[in-house]
Amino acid sequence: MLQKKDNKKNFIALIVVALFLALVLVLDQVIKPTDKMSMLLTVLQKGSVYALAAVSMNLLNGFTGLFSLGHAGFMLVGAYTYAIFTIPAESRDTVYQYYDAAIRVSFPEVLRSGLGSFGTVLGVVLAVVLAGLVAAVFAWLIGLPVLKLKSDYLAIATLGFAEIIRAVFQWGKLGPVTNGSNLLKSFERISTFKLTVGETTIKMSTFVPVLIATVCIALIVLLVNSTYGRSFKAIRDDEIAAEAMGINLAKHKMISFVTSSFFAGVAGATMAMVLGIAQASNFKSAMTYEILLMVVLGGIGSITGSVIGSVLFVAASEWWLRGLDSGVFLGINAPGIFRNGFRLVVFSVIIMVVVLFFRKGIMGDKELPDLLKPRAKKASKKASKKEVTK
Amino acid sequence: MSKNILRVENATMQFGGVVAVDNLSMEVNEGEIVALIGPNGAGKTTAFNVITGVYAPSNGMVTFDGEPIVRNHPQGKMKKLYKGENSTMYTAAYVPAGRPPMEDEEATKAWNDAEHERDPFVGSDKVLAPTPDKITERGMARTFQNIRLWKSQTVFTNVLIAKHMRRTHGLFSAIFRLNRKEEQQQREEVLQLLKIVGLEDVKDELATSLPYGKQRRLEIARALATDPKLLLLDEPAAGMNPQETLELTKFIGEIRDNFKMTILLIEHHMDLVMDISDRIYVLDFGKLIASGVPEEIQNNERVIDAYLGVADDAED
Ligand SMILES: Nc1ncnc2c1ncn2[C@@H]1O[C@H](COP(=O)(O)OP(=O)(O)OP(=O)(O)O)[C@@H](O)[C@H]1O
Ligand SMILES: [Mg+2]
Repeated sequence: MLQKKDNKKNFIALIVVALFLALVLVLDQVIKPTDKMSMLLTVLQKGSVYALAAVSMNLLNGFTGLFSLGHAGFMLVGAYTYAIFTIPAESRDTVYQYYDAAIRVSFPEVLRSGLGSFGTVLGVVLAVVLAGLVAAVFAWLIGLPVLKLKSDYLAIATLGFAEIIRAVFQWGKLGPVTNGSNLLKSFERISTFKLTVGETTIKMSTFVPVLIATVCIALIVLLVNSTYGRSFKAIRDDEIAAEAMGINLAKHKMISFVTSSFFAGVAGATMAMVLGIAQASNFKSAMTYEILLMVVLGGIGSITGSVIGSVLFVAASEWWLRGLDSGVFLGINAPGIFRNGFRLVVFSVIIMVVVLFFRKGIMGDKELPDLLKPRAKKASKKASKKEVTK
Repeated sequence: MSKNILRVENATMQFGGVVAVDNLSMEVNEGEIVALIGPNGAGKTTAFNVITGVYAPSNGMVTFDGEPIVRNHPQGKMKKLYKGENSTMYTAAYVPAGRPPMEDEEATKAWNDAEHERDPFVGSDKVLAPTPDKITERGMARTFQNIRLWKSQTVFTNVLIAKHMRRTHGLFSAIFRLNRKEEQQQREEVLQLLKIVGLEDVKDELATSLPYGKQRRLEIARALATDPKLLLLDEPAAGMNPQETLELTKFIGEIRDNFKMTILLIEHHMDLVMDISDRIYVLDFGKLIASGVPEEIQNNERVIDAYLGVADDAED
């Protein structure tokens, strides 16, 4: 019976997700870049990137209890991997203007020649997966020594790793690969994502990042609810008890760390395709803190919370509060107050208020289905009482 | 006499200047209930921690089911450092039973010259279980004196997580739910277990919301979920009232009979100990001061002086 209920719930969740994706695809077609509502698309695009980044961070920090601050570093690795392997041959030399590019293969290009526009899609997918894999390899290498450390030291070590990675990727000697301190551009980006079916062209510039984030977050949800995910939570709640009950700490921490970094790498790749550029100096520790803030706002240990937190965060800072910087906000015209920088002030106040009133974030450690549960429980209790009185 | 399942030889655990466990040797036979008693701070919990691999002992060896699982011998990665010319460095700390103290030069010389059984682990490649989870995997499970349940999880999930170790599927299968059958099987086993320990009706409640006595029962259920051969209980009756203690006594006996379990337990409630133990070991200041069947212990002068005389006051 339990399984039947679960199957039904999963089915409903699947339909909701499919409807959401369809809606995004429709929005992609109807909203023109010049529309006022085009901000909605931007929020969806960047929101996807940050939602995936936040959820993957939550997997590690929230579900496994490993306080790591290396996220920006893994995103950087992902962004660069994606960029390097999708720059078309013709632009390669313009991008690497000071260096002789060492890697000269573009997945979408190679596959396009054989498979047409489907090849482009496949090439992009391959580059995204590779981005995740490279980030995961980095994670595995630094995880070996670093995961033995306890909380604060782990945070410092991973933060240090992210800073070092940023410096290394800007290092002139690696120029042929990373283009030194210059940015990478001209690679496959969302504005070129289109599918041509006969006469009609379907734009997918918002759909693709949303789809990537959705698929990845779904995978993380599956992981968290699996027997491994339960063990992660056991490690978070009480490491000593977890080890005494036969959970291999080193192995499970590594799985969590590598998986989290894999998806951070994918988030980095998605960020690159949304922004159209990849530059190491953008992946500062401030980015990690921003993502951490989204996780905390949404609720540590809640995937739903991380998604809500990051989308609200992006929407507020990119869209709703824009007016605070440019003179007009909610119809009030006060250029004296609403000028550059004021947005950040208001934003910080809002965050402080949220943190004060929602001590455990917006969602606590609850997920979307949990919100529907209490009612169901009460109902079943009543039902069982009736049975008893009968 | 039945087979010996746990053997502790010359176990010593030193924390700086404190010798928490001092040259402890003991054994537990299959199917027995053995108690480890002694005043507060005698080193009972520390002995458990040595046996289950939480601490690497300063000296000594623990054998479980015929295989050495813990030793003050370089294990795992450390082992490499102590190969070759360094190999004697570590083993020098292991004092085999019967060796005279170093100060007694003559006796030491005689002992060195005499024929001895060679220590089978010097320079051997045999990796002894290096972490507690490996020891649990071999069939030893424990509970904690200061309850350590996973607080964000329900009663059911607490027990289910302990089944994780017995999985046969890998990460990929788990994510894509190719392990459904196994998962279903484990869930049924957990439900069965909860029925046996009498926690079925609270299975969906948070573990930490249970009253004290039930939390201790849950810890036992969780330990049983790992399919152990030997169960180590650290003060299972602590904080229980006489009625609950009586029930627990019965329950522990049932576990032994129904699961064919061997049990080693630490306890301050003397009624419980004398009631169910086959044999008792008494620790005082880390040293073993007595061992034997309950009647022997009850009439042992040293034990009465060190512990039993004050035990009634020590109990709360
Ligand atoms: N990790 C540790 N570091 C330093 N000293 C320790 C450590 N663990 C235990 N000790 C010391 O070892 C001694 C024995 O402690 P232990 O907890 O084993 O006693 P116990 O017999 O279980 O007592 P109780 O009946 O109160 O549980 C104590 O003096 C304690 O302070
Ligand atoms: Mg103790």
